[in-house]
Amino acid sequence: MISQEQLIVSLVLGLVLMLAMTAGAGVFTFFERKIAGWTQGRYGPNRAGPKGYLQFLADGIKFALKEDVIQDYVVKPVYVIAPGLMMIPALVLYAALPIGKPFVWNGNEVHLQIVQANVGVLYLLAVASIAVYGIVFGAWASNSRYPFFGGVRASAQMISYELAMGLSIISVVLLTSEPGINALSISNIVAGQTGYWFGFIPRWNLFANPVAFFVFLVCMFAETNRLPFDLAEAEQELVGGYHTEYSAMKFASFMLSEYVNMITMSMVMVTLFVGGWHFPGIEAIRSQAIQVLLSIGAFGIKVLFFCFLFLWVRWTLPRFRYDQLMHLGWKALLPVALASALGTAIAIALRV
Amino acid sequence: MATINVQRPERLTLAERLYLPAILNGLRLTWRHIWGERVTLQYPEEERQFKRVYRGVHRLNKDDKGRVKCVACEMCAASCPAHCITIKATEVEWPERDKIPKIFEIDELKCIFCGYCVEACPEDAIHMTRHYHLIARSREDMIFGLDKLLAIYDETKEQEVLRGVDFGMTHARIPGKEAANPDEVQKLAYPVVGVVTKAETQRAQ
Amino acid sequence: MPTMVIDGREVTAPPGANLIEAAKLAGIEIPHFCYHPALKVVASCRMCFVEVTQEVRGKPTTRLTTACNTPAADGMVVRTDTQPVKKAQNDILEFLLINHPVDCPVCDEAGECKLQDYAFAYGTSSSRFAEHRRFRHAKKLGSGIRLYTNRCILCDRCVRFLRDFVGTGELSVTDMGNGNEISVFPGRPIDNVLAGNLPEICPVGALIAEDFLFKARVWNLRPVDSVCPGCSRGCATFLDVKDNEVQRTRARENQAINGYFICDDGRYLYHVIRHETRLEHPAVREGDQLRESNWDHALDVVVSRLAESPERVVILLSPFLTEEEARAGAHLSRVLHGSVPGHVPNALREAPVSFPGGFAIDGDKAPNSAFVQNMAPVPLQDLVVTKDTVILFFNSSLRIGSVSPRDAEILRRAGFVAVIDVLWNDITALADVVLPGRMWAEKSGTFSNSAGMAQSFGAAVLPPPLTRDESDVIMDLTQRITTRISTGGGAIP
Repeated sequence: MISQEQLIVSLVLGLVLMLAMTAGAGVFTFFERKIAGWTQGRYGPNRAGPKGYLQFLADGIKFALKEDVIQDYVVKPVYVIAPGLMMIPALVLYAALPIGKPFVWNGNEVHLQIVQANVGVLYLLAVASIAVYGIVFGAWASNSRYPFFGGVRASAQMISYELAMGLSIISVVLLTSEPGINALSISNIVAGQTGYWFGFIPRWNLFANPVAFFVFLVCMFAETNRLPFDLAEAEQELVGGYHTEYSAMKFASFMLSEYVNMITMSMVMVTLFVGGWHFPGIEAIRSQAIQVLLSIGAFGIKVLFFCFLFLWVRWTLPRFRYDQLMHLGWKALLPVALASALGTAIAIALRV
Repeated sequence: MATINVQRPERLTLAERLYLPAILNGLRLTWRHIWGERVTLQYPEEERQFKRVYRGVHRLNKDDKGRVKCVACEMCAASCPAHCITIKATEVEWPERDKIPKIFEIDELKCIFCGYCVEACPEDAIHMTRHYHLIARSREDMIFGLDKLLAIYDETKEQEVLRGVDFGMTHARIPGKEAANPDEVQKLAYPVVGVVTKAETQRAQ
Repeated sequence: MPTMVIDGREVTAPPGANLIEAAKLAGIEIPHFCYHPALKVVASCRMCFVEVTQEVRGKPTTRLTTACNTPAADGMVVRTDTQPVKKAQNDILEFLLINHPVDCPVCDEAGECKLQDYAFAYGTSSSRFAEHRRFRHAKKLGSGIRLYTNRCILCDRCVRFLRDFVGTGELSVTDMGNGNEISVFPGRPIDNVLAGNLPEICPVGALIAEDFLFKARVWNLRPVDSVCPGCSRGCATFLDVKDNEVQRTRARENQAINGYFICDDGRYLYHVIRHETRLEHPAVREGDQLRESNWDHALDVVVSRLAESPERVVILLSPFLTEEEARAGAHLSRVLHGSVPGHVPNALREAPVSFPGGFAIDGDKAPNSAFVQNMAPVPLQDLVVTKDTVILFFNSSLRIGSVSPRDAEILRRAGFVAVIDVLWNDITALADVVLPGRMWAEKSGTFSNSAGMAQSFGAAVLPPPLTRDESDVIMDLTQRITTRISTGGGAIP
């Protein structure tokens, strides 16, 4: 039975996060183009509004005003729901993630988390797997060759990398597990990362198992269909991949969900490996309010760093070939993730 | 049969197969670029400065009396590889020459901006300016006639531009102004296209 | 038949031929300015120097001589490529160019200029002449001829042409030394019908036709072999075409008919092709007026009238038709059983003119009279024309007034007149249906001249879009008429 205070916080958080995520995705597209420009020695968009900051609004208005073409040959119901289906997992995935330090309100402990699920990790894995349906549905319903290729590629890619991703999360769960603690609860995973080794190295899973961190990092790119793993779109080969036949707001929701996904995956990353809301020195702060605010700030900064990493990598690396992608997923990441999970298990067994 | 030895690529080392060093190197590079210099120009506000030999929009020169210098000899049209120049001549009662163009049209869409017309012109009547803003609302508007080409001259009179060699042909029939002597021809000649000294280049920049 | 060796090739020349002609037989070109095969030889330009080795008083002697006034003789050994010859050619060119303005860019001759060609082939690009050049303004000599004295090399061709060939002799060489120039006498401009040949025989750009002045650069012209439709002489011509327009007419050499020249009447006749009175669309009479119509309707009207009662139909041919059209027109009368073929004789007749040089202009100002008369022997005046008569008249006359007033009066008597013509004229004015045909420059065909010589010619320019070839019209009419017969329509039994 959750307390009244927790309920208020959850509702407010749900509303705020939902709005923040969609708006943030719009702003994200602007920065994507900006950073694309910078890495190539250009200025990036700088005409719409002051210094170009209203570019994302202009883009949005353009998408909203465009003609929404629905071709005769598409499978209409599936074609129409596909963009929404793509959007849903991106917008519900973060429900299980704590974005700040839990605090006490009216004597009740309140978690800054929309849902405090005790099997949060399973929830993450489950929802993340749904994401592929949006792509596959859209691709199949388009009833056109290139989108179909894109869909096939996307599903194969997602399945391959989910495996490695799941194994790297197992390492995290193992690291968290202690007698009497539900290691599948995400707030416990974050709580497990507070504290220090030798008094100054934070106990973030990143440091505890860098191999798992790295595997998760790579899978994160693959799961969000970002370069160097954007084979589902691959405009040189597949025109536009799964969204070739989409236009106007339907296309925009595909695009937007990609960016929301990126933010969500960054949040997952931060929660599982980089200590969530924890930052070194948080214990020294006396006031609970400041502590909570700073913890939220720390979480946000970490998330922003990974968002930036997404862009940075995208404008650095070329796309993988399909065989390289499969090779990397099955022959490299999967064994490494397995080994890391095994190693973690042995280490924990020896310690205990 | 002769044997050809082919250099096979060496097997990749572990570090190379991991991709990671290369990826980090790439990230370092793009990081530097993010903070580096911008190479693009803010076009309508800023414009690129071109060298003297830049081949932009044509202009038809005017003589010292402000009349068209062209004598409609069609040498430019004959040398034009894109066949974009159309000339119709007409007669005038001027003391020093009697043939001027009635129609002089350059289809700037067909033009490949090679500069042959400038080189072919025996009158130094056609130049290529450094203007590169070629904007029109229709194909017809992109066919530049006498009026436009002469207006471009008025605009770019001061510009030092790509020019051919003036052999003074118009003046050949005026007593006392001939240039029959090869030495004189040499003196009349302007710097030949394409030869630009280092100092000039620096000045242009 | 003297036999000799020119540049190592053995040549047998006809008796009386000079070395230039003999060399031409051997395929060797000897450069020359003043020599013209139709004119007297003066050897004034000195360009045609060759080295001749000949037995003189029993001794073989080698000397440099002008080829134009050296008759071919047995046993001559001629060299055109030795060092002295080349030196002579080079020096002559340098000499001829001292006063030449080299204003090739504005000169209409450039491209077909002998001085230009020879300067490229035999000259050098430098000149030692440092003094001021002689300067003269261009002058108008009459008959649309302009003289750019600066460019003149005083080869004398024009003077000899007018004096010896035409016999009028308006031009002469005046003044002396550096002042030497071609001129007319005061108050006596060039006035003869062969004046248009002067720019053609001028080897440089000194004599220029005002008709062609600044019209086109000659390398842009496409010459098409044609035959002059101006008179029954049938001179061979070139039509020089650019931008789908005939820019000028030039004489084409045909020794059997016109030699090297044509008369001005034929030379400037090409203006009729783009004349403002050109007939460019079919027209059908409605009441008093001819209304613009389309081919289908106009032909239907014609065929319905023709088929009503073929025995009242008269098919008339004009002497401006080609052989092919006349033949097809005559055949049409056989398709229409009972119809009568006839011809309308050309009314434009002048006294024939001939010149001392041998050139002649025919009096009959239509190209194909003899053949058309042969095809349809009965003249219009001998045919019975009443107000029931239906007349189909293939006129296509290039000249106004080619149908005599008397014949026009006969036509006016007829009940229905369909005419195929190229210009709006007095005949189209009285016609009930007017069909636009094509002119000689727009179709290919054959003309037979008064001497019975047939010459074919090709199409030079594209016709106005709505016009149709006369043979094509005849074919179409034939088809429509036979269709009517076989389907039982109309009054044909």
